[in-house]
Amino acid sequence: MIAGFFEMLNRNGLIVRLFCYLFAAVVLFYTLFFVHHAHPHTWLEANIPAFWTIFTLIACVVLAGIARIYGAAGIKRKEDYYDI
Amino acid sequence: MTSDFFIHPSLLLIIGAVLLPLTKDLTRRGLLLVVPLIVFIDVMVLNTNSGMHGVVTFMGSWTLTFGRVDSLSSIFGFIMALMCIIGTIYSLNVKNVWVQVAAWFYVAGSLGAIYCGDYLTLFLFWEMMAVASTFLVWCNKEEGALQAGYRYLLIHTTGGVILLLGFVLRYQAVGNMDFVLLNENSTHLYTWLIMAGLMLNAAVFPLHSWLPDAYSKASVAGAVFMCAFTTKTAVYALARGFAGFDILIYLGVFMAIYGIVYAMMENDIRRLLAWEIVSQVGYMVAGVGIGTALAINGTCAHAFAHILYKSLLFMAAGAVVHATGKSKLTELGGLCRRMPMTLIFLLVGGVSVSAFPWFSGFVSKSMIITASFEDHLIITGFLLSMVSVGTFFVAGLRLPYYLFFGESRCSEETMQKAVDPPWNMTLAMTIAAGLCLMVGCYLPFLYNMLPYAVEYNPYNTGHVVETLQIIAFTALAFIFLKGFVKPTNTISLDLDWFYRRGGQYFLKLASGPIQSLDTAWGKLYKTVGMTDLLASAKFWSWFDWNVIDTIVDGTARSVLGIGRRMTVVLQKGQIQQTLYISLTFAAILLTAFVWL
Repeated sequence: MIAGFFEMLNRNGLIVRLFCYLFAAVVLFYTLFFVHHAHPHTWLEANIPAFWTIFTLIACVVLAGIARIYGAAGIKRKEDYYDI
Repeated sequence: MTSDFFIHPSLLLIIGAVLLPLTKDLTRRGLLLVVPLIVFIDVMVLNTNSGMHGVVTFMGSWTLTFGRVDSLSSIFGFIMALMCIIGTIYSLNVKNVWVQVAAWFYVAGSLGAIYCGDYLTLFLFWEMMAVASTFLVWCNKEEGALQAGYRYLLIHTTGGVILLLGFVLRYQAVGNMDFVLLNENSTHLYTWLIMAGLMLNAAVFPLHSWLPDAYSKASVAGAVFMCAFTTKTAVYALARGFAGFDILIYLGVFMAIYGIVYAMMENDIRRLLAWEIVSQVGYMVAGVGIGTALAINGTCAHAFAHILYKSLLFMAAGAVVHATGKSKLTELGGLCRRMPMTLIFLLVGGVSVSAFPWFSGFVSKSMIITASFEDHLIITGFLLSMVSVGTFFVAGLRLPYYLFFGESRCSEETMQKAVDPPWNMTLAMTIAAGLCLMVGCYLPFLYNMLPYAVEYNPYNTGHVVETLQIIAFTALAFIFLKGFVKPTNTISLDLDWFYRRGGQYFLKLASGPIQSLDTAWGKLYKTVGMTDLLASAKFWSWFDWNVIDTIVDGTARSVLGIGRRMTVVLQKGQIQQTLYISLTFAAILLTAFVWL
């Protein structure tokens, strides 16, 4: 049963994507309009609306970008690199 | 020393490990289940009884402490003993008994290092861990495991020597071997040597390359043990000796970022998880460096949570390796239909490490991040948050997606072999997954064990909303960025390049230029040297014969010559003549005697 459910998700990527968009929209909506006293640690969190959303998106791009550039710069090698 | 009853848990494990190969079938199974349970109970009893136990005087002047039980060692001892139960259950189906023997010696080393109170005992157990865990790598029959084991052993032996050097220098300076907090304001060479030795085991950059190398080559069950003990025992030792050392904050943050970037590039599933250990241990090392009560609590809590979810991830990945024999994402994929249970366990581990609410990472990781903000280390706090995003990106999304979803890159044979693991592996994963949930949901379970009494509640609106934003938008970003982190059939070069490639270059240098130089030198020696030597020998021989001997032996030769001539002149062979000469000679002598 559960295997069938996973298989269904795998076949219908659109459902998963739509769920992700919906979830993100709900979280963003909730954050922007319902959260007021969130005990921020820093000035940034207190003054930028939905700070962690922006932070997350930038962090993902930065990390995936570093991995991509770093890998392409010669860190990624063929698997038999160490075999003489 | 208290005079109460004290049995060292390591001793029980060692006895168990020695008995294990002597048993068979059912008895062995019984032993495998009972011994870790007894050890766990022993640790629980020990933890209720704070103080110094097992204090022994050694060689007159040294005091060895085997059982220092306090709030810091208790929590680490507890989780290690718990992990021993889970790991042993996971390894029940392993036929090779030496895996379990090595694993128990390994856990014994870890428990011994946690409960010891002096550097000498620490060193003993530290080395026991290094040697025993090497055998966990060697138990794997896969190609490359032998070499990886040797590299692992050589590096840890070097680390051990550095550590010992630090202990000896400290003993010379201070006059005792007590394993206590070192002073950041008066550092000496030994401080840095001890720190480097401990950092090597904690896989702190730049001493981390051994970890992905060895953990990806260890046997399936061996890797589950290894992912829990070495680094976390080292984190304990750092927390004990180096709390508040600022340098650890920078190194910790750096290794957290470094590990996650490498995990994004990695193709081998166990290597990917190993890189994530480097990243997660970075949080703990940074927590030790911050050194406040909340940070040390966070370090202990995170080590506790980390052992559970990371072992769960390693068990799930191990189940895939166990079933299919493959470990590369480029040779796997689309397994969700074949291994649904394994997928669920991997997801539980993945969301725990990604700090989802109600899972263990949520209640532990945030302590360290909050501690860094409260200590006004704003950049540290933000960088660790960034790594938290990356962790979900890799362990919560990239690994499950490319392993279980998407297009299948498996061969027909691999797909056929891919089935959920045997009952014992499933049981071990169920226990670990249950504990991940329990730690996240029932706060007192973990928080009451922490070394400092600190009021901290992770379930405040700000933190929950922050986490939800991170989760939702990381998932969103992954949809668009997954092409960036697509697995490729490659390995990623790391600092182990210096000793792996460096070693190969040295070998080439030795077999190429150095050897030809040696051959050339031999030839040169033969042609030039030998001729010269022969010529000079001839000369000296002549000189010796004609000059030295003329002077020294010449005298002898002259005497001989005169004698020979005398013989020719005087001894003509006729008896009368000889008689005559002799008598004449005697007469002359007699006359001379009378007259003189």
